[in-house]
Amino acid sequence: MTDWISTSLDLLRSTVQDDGGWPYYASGGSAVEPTAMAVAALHAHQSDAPRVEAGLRFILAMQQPDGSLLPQAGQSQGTGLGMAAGIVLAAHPASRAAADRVADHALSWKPETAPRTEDISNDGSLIGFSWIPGVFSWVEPTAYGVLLMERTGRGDHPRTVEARRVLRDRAVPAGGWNYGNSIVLGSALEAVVMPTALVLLALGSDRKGREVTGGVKYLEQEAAAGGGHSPLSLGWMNLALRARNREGVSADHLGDALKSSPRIAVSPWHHAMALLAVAPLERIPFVVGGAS
Amino acid sequence: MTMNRREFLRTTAAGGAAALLGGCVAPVRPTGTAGRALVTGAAYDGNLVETILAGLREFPELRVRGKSILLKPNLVETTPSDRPINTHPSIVVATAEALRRMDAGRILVGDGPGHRRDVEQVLEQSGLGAALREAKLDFVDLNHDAVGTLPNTGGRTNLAQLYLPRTVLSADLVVSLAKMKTHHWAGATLTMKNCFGLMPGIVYGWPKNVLHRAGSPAIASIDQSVADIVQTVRPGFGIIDGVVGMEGDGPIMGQARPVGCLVMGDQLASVDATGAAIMGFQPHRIRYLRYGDAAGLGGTNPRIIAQRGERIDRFRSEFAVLPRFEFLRQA
Repeated sequence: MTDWISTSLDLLRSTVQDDGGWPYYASGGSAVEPTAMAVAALHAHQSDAPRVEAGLRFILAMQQPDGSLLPQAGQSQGTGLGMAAGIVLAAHPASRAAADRVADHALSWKPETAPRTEDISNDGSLIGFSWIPGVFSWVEPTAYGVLLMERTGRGDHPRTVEARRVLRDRAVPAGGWNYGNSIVLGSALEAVVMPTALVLLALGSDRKGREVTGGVKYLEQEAAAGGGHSPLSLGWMNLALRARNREGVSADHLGDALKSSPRIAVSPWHHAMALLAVAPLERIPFVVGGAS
Repeated sequence: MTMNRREFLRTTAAGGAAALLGGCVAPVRPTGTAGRALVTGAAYDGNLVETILAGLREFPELRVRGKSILLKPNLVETTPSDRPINTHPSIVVATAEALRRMDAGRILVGDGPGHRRDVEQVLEQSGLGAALREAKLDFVDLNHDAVGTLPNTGGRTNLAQLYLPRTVLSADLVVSLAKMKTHHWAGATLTMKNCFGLMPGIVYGWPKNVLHRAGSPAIASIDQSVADIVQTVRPGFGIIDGVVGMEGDGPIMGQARPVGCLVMGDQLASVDATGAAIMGFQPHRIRYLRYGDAAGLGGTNPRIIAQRGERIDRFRSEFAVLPRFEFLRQA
């Protein structure tokens, strides 16, 4: 086993909070997203079942009567981050029903729409998934939404089908995705690693579309370029490329990235994502449809 | 009796509800309130610590001894190009060092980028991460911090309360370290607009879209949100990095515009009005500055702002703007 993998697993074991959850960074309180990532990472590496179960219990404790998941204590409303955690809940039989409730709640939110304008090239009439109610569909929550619907047997739901169209519509002209705008006021915007990887995972069954090939090419270029990416971005990048039988960065590269800053070195969020990047694909809930 | 920022926020909380009930009328002219701001020449490779320290000392009302301070740079995105999107790291580090020399307490640097979940990547690719490590300054990811709420003291938008990162709520002094840039929705982004990054993405999402849509009429939403945030958080000081600004399609896709100055002061609307004037704009054409002026965040008429330091004319530029913002130049 690569040394950093055992170190990262140890870090996850040592940073779990009394409530069973994990924080984003060393100094924070438990939050749903890093907890979901830590649970997924430990499960993928077949490590520490009791902490996996405790983490799932923390996530379930954040579920509201309407099915949404609060991102952390102190907030009163679920957000799109709950869909990310729902994907992990769906992978465990004990929390599968809770994942269904997260999915149903996500479908109950109807994001705002807008006609296409000269200012923004996106087809704003398409409905994906939003971060919170009353705003537009954006790339990351839409990608989480598609994956959650796939994981909960709603892959053919009309909202899921339309959400995939949203994702394809938001690709930037040069290939890849950012937070969700492609051309604004005539300027073609640039792609970013993490949303590009998330979209490629969400469009897992799409192998040939122009947007998909452009996104894969962008990630491969970023992987080849090397430096400057955090373990979080590198982890998503590797998952997306591996799911399409492509090579990402090496495990050693991931290990070096974990040491790139003192804050990253103790961040459960970054360590969990790096661990997922090197885990067997069939044990990763964010990979749907199997590698091909 | 001197009231610190945290006490001020507590005592003004009750006023927020009244402001909400009363609503706010958008003024069309500066109030005539005098403001104050300082302009000084600067270069990234010059003696920035001394320059900023001298500037801070021009504001004796600013008390920093022993106080916990949050420096909030404009950390937006990184790009393969050399477009100057973010507050230059040297400005952030020099401000921290100047405050240390004034016996400030704990100094943190924090931001919550509106488009990027992975702030660590933005930190490293922008060079700010390495600069902070060298200066032994801690960074806080404001997008993923624990949160609390304050009543929306401004009351222009329909947000009854604002969620804010614990780091912001617990700081004695928030300093907005902005970049002098055009902005394709708001006209210009300076120390007030920079405060959008104080809002936590874990609550509002990426982008913080609700803040673009929470006002009325819709076209004024972003400006009303800016004014609400600043009026509620009350940053105590602002510095604009105008050494190299951005013109054209800012705040991300524009071009570099060297100006060679810093603008600073303890009244953010006055600082921004001065920055806007240097950019060749009429400050009262920027809607959120009018809101700020009316809210007591500093006068915005450059003719009656008490300008300290160097003359504006030395740095006055004509920043290129998108056609939709040509009106910013009109008297």
